[in-house]
Amino acid sequence: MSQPTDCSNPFVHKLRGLVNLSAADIAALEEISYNTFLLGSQSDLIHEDEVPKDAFVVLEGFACRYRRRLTGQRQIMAYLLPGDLCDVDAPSQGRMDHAVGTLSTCVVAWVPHQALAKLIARHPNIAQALHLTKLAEVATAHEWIVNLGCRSAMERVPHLFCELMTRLEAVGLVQDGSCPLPLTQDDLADTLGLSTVHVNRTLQDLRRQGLIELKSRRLTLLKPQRVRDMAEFSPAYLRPGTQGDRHTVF
Amino acid sequence: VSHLNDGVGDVSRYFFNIEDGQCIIDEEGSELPDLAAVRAIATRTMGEVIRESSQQHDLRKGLTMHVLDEDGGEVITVRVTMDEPTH
Repeated sequence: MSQPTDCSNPFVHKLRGLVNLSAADIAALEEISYNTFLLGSQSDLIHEDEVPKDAFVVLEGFACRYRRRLTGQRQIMAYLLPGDLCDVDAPSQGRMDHAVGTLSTCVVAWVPHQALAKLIARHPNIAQALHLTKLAEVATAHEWIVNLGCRSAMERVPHLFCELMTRLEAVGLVQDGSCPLPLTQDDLADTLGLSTVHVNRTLQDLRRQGLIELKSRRLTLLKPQRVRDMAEFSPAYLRPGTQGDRHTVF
Repeated sequence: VSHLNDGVGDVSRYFFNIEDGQCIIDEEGSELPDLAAVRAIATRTMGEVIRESSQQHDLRKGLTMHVLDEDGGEVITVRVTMDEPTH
């Protein structure tokens, strides 16, 4: 019997932040994320052009949706963080127009589509929560387009960092104002549409201004309000379905 | 395609310093395989900085990137200026 206070499973933690879950809902989520695998960094979970058979939940580490051009250039289009499901709509989406791969060492749980469909049919709270996560994914993609189109490097990097801090806080991974950041400068560059040299320069500038600290693959926002203001960051898009701005504190 | 290798190993570290009034010294540098890669990333980075300069820097004051190797020798210099001739 699962205790409602048990937050060790980030999938449960995340969905419980969005809707009220019963003990039966939590038990069903834990059961479905039981079949776990450890993957090294830079391994593909789903290839481009593949028709995915199963969904998966990220339990540890960072993964991403990305496209690689024939030239070798890569654009990262979304991060899949602990607690994120990929993908609730997979059965109806057909051939993938992008790949999904790990950025760091990851623990994922494979979720057969039939089991996922059954879960959604039998647990309306979970269905509602997954619907909200999908809306948040779309809203996040919109923010990333704004980032790529009209924010400077000194706004893009802080915006991404604020977003990561908020998302990781929602799964209990923020401790003392710091969160895991198992990314390379190449990963950040391919996410933000910047050269690695520009990313490097921007990180050094943020450090020099005493705004962030990057140490042992962890990010700390030393002056969180300043960093939010620089990026005009408002976390409302990460919380679709809620009224007004539910500002999280990190 | 010919590559100018450093002759020592696979990669060398290059430092990209941009003088834009506040001159941020690149303390970490970036490891790159050859001079072609240095040229490409210098061009791209300057392009990005110029793109943003309308908000942050007046190009009439000039913008210079000095790319240095590990010994501090200048490998590439990129200069951009905006001139407004007086009639």
